[in-house]
Amino acid sequence: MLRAAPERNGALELIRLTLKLVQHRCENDISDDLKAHFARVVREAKLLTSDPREGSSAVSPESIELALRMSLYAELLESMEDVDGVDTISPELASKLLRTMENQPVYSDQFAFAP
Amino acid sequence: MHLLLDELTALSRTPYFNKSLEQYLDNLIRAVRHVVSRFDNFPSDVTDQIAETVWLAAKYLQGGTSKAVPYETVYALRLALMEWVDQPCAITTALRDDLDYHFWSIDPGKVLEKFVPDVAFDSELIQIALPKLYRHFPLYNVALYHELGHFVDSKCGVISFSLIWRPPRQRPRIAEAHRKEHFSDLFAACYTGSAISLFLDSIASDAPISATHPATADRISVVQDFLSGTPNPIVDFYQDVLKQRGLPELNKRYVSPSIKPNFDAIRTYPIADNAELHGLIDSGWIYLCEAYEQKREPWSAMSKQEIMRIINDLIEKSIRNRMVKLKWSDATNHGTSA
Repeated sequence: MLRAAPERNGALELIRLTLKLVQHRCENDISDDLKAHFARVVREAKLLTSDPREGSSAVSPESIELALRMSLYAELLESMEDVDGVDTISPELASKLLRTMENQPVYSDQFAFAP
Repeated sequence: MHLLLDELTALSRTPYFNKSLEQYLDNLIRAVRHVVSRFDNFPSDVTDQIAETVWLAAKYLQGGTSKAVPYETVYALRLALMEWVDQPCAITTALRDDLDYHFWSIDPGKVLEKFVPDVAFDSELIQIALPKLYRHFPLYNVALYHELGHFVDSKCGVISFSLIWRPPRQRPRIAEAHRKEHFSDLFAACYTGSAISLFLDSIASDAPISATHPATADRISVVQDFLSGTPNPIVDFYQDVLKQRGLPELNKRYVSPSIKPNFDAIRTYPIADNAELHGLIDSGWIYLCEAYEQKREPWSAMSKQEIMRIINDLIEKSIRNRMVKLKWSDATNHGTSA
């Protein structure tokens, strides 16, 4: 392999893209739709982390995936404390969140059948 | 991205066998054109991530042009998929040279829609992969029902949610992997009954517990308890998780048809409904195991290889007949109403 490929996690793809745009100070390229999506995922993930019974069908798998990472990694949970939307994230914080999310993937996208 | 755009444009000139894939490809080309036109505005790791997604989509879409698609298997899986996922799906197929089954989803539309105005993808792109050698052996493709279970898990956040709701006491990575496998086995059992156990037993009968998979004996035991209605804490655990997530419960979604009179006469079975279509895999596996014993006509004089080929062929043709019958009925009903 020419370079190490980061483990992918499709469920958080949009969250990672949004954070990358913030990291590179390209907030103007983040559409209102994407901002609203980011805020909803963060809100649902926080709610689920504080009360796991809040996992009804209305909660998206993306929010569950973020909540799972937050409940597993104290550093991510702490970093997310004051985040409730794109506007509340500095480029430095975006880098930190990306690092925490990318270096410690919870699961792989690949489901090869290998009993 | 320019090269990917060229690749997608070339693909669009190839005739597809599925209208939804054509539509998907058209949308993708429009979206990628837009991204290419604004390429320099985005940071490189953002365009890298977008390119990676489009690259995978191009690979998936190539499978949609193949004439070797096992339509019967894909048809059965699509029926099962529709019971769990509301969103329309565009399914492509990859025939693999190795012994690899998977059921992957990629949704470049979900990403691109947020960056490209006026492009709306109305379906999710799914790739079903199976070994090329087994494309006409539907009984071996029971593994794809297990893979569909993984897909539903991922799509609906079943196991991820279970890890928050009921965190494992130790070794979370292993617990997560095992939860995923048991869930997918049970999911497959909902449609194919004991076929998934027989398949597991045939390819990994003595496999011990590993970091990624429970022992085969344990997997089969959980499936058998589920099918026989014997109380099992693992089954109960999933039923609770699914209920909490507002998802359908695990239950038998098949009816095993009596294929013996037809198959003994080497004739196809007339499938009555979708439950029987899935159940044909269960009946087929049980019938195959008996035929392998070569104790009765017409199988006693045949080699095991021949038995396997003929029974798989009967299953495949039975499903195909059902598909043709429904299409005919659909076409003639339209004709009448028009």
